[in-house]
Amino acid sequence: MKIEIQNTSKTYINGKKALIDANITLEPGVYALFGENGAGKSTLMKILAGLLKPSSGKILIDGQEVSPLDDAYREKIGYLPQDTPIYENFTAVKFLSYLATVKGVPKQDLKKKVMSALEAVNMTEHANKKLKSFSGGMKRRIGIAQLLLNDPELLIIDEPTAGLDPKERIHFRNLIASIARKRIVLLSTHIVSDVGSIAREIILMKQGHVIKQANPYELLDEIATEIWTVDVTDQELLDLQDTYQIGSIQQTRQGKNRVRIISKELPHPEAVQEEPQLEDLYLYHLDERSKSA
Amino acid sequence: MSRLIRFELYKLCKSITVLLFIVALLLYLMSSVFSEDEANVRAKYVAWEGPATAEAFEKIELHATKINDNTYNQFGPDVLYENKAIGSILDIQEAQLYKTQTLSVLSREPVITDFEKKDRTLHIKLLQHVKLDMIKYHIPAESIALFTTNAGVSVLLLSMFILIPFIYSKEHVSGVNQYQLSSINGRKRLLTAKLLSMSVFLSGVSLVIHLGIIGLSWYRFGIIDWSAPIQVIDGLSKSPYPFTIGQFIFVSFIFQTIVLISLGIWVLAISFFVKNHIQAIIWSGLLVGVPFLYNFVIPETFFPEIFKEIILFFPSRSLLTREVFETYQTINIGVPLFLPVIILLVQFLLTLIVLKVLYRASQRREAV
Repeated sequence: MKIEIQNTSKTYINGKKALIDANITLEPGVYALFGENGAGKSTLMKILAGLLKPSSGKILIDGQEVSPLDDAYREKIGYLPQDTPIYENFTAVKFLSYLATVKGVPKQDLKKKVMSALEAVNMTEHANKKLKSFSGGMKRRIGIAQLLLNDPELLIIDEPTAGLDPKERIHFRNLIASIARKRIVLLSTHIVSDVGSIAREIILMKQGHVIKQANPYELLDEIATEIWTVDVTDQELLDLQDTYQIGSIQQTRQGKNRVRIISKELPHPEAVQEEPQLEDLYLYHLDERSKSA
Repeated sequence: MSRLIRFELYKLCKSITVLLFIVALLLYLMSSVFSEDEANVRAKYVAWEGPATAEAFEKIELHATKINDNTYNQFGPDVLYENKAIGSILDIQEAQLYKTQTLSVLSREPVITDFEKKDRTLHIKLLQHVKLDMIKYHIPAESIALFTTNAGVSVLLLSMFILIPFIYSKEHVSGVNQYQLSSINGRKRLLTAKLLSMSVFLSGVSLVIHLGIIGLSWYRFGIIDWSAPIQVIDGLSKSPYPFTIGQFIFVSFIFQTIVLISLGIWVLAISFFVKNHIQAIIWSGLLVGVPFLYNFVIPETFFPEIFKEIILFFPSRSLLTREVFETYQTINIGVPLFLPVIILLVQFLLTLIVLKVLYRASQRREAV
């Protein structure tokens, strides 16, 4: 399946332009949406999830224009919102069975689908427990399980690893990597390390605009000469913070600050060039100070 | 679809506390129907059973005068039972008098138009079919009819008010609507499932109320005679409809269930369009409460005279079927159409419009 979003915009009733002239192409694989709060990620995801109608623009599936509110379109998608809504008084099995019914899973397949979805997220032993007794991470796993019920061709996941512990995050990453072989997975996250290794492409959004869509390595190559580290005193750190875009800061054994700096020019006489990471990419493109640096 | 309906019904019935509250309230209200004195009143009443002739009523009135005389022990329990029994019997006399007077007036007054002629003939025909010729113990049947058209209605409305306004607002507040709206069955089919499950639930509550009060009355009074005409029921002496109390309770049950489902659809529509529980309660409260409480809590003096008629077209008011069947009212559509039929037709049309709007909106709905 190939999805093309062409010149798509969304303006809310209050006049707020949440998405402006977005152009994206999606093919099977994982796509990571990066952007600050209010960048338009959720709006884009909700349009693709059939929850919002774009104010203008087109969505094409394999070259055919579709309306995201149509039944035929919604049959192909699975969506997990950021806060994992649930019915507190339902058991995990009951809740997933309900969603499977809403998603049109045939009766004869329902039980099997529900159990295999629970198995995929390691929740089989909690199948008959009420959701109100679940921790945030367990609820998130149930949210992920519901994504798999109708074998969607497009999975849209808002902040997938929110509430998951490090072990669960690794498990989730592996799960996404395995299901994305034949499907499109679009996910938004602030934790760039969670998806960097599995993303086919990264989509960067800022103030409603899609500013980049490319392979992570291509994006990293673009800033290959602009990442520096240097060990500095507290006073020097203050000076650097005033002038440059600063990434991570670590304390060294010598009591100095090892600072990661994003800069086109040599920021300090002792600064050395470093391999760019996805966090640098995020800061480079999306941090408000990036323009001034 | 049946699985979806079952799930929606399960969600409605899931609130055990709410259901227990409804059952407890119902039992409490039902218990108030059965007077401890029933056996004594019955004993006094059956002594007067027989043809409802002028002589019989004359004897009863004379007896009533005697027992309420100052020289008599008017506050003794026997007198209280007798007065209660006689009061019920004299309802038959009142209805007889109204029937006779109305028939006399109808046959004397001139008619001008063709419709007036048809309307007059129909009214006369109906009244002639009203049988008020026997004095037969009717208090248990009357109590059941009063319960199902009064206290039972408040239980019906309460059950609806506690659950239906939240059917959609709950999905919105919890955020589960995001799964639903992005799923193939989460729009029109889900709406159909919610409408059907709500209809099943409300019909069930209505059936439980009717069967419950009838069952309890059987248990308490034994075999009940349903054959008395509805004109002996408090407030229905001017009713032109030739129903027995048994027939009226059945007709009222069907009427109430249809109206209740209509009202349920209107309240569901409110739940669909609002975004939170408070708004759902306020708007549903206005829709359900204002017409229902009119004249009980809200003084009718605040409203023009015509409002008394208009208000019957609001489902929560027309659930009070005694008011709907109280008098002879028709409208001209070439032939005379009875008020209960007009009410059902108007509500049916309005409900169709609400359904059309709901289905259109459900297909275009956004989760903002």
